[in-house]
Amino acid sequence: MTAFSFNLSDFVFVWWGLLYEAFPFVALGALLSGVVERCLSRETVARFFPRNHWLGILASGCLGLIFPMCECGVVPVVRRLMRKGVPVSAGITYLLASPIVNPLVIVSTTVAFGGRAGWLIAGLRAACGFVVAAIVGLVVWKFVGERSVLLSKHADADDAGHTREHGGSVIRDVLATAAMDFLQIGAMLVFGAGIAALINSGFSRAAMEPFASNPWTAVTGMMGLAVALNLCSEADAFVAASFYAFPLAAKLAFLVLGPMLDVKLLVMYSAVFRPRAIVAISGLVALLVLLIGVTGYVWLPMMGMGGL
Amino acid sequence: MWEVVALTVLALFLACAAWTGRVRFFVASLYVWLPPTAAVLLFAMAVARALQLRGNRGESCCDEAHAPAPKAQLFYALIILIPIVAAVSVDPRQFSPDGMRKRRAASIVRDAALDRAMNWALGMRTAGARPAEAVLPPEPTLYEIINAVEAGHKENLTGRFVTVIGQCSLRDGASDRFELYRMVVTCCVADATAVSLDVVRPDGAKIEPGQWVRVGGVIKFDDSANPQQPVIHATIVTMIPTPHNPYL
Repeated sequence: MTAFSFNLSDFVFVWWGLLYEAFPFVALGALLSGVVERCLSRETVARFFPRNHWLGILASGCLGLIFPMCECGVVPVVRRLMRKGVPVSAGITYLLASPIVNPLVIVSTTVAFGGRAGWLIAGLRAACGFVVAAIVGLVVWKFVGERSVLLSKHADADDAGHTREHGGSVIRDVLATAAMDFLQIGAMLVFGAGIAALINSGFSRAAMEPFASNPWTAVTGMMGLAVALNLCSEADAFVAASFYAFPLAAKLAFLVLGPMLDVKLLVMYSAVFRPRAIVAISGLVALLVLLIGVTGYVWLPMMGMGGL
Repeated sequence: MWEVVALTVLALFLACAAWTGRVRFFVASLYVWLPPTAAVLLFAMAVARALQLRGNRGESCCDEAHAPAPKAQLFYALIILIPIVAAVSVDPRQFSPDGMRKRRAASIVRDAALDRAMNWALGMRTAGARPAEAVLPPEPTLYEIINAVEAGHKENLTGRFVTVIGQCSLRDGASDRFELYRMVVTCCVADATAVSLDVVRPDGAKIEPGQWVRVGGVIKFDDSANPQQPVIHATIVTMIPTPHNPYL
């Protein structure tokens, strides 16, 4: 069987599979974004968000445990929060961490791998996701510059004193704002999911097997697969678990990278970040995950998890 | 105004898909409530946006300052409508046989003797010591049969008569047997993984690729290429309609 072949019916089937699953979460995210826009002022954000940058980034990395969001729904929410004064570095940390450091994903990973090994792998996945997201947040804060990563219309948006007079009811304003957010992010989702479906429906999983024997090809192969398959973070562990030939280090790279970086997310990020920033953030995330995956061949056996 | 049109059409499409039961072919049964929920949300958004546009005629609201330009709105609206056109024209309900083959799960290669030795060494009861009834339910799924084999119950399964349902895929160059498969879906069809077993077909049984069938037969481990792989020797193959929940 060839590694890649196109079938229109399979393509549309997977495309709509992704859209049926993701549209509700993007709609929910847009709704939350509307609530943030209408009900949350910059002053409120400033009052409740930690003033200490370090603390803000670390807290954002764990926020998914209390406010779990999937990778599609989180994009409009973070975009709006950053416009409301949440530091960009903290926003990016939450954006990257919440689809992994998230009770639903921890439970689904545990179930997928089963038993005690499941809990260990779920814990490792959450810890690695947190570390990668926090490092990217810190790099954005210290080296890249908070405002330079945002698209100019978001960076320049000044919502100061935005407890403004709205003409209509709260519900109408929230929903109307959500409509505009959904239109833009939803269109990005459709485009990204289209590319994702093209790869997902055309690619044969059996083509991955030859990559399993070498640490470098195994880790980079599984990373490439995570970017290409565009799976929901609640389901990806079940797919990862079915790659029996691959060692845990490569599966871990798949599980950490997928929710942070895939084709559909890259397109959706373009509604928030500048292209250069997307390249920089993606590059850093990929590099850190590669490091975790390749060194995992050493530290996972040291932790007694080499045989998993 | 384009955003109102796009959101309304999308909401109607999602509501229709939920109403006609089409959604269950695309997402796991646990999540079939998601698209109708999205339809309600999107319709409410479209109505609110239409009311806001009517109320703000001639005024410039700060929301409008953040909103995309009209041309961009039209562009986004058109992108959102493209998959609807594709779904209406193609109307897929299942993977093609080739699409299924791309999604096959690799089977675990186990050494039963080594498993027994490990179980003995660890002081565990060997898997094979379980009574036959406990290994499989009366009407097992393909997944349960494969799991039972992988758990080391080969001896208990040998010679057992089972009735399973699944879809057919023809094997190249093997006219006496076909592949019976089911898709395991956790969230949506993007994560679908195919699990399958070989079936030796009874004389005269006609098989169509992708057709749903109920197979009754005896489990044997007589595949010369892979003796660990169960094969169902079918005595009866009946065509059935697509089950309400097509995925495991």
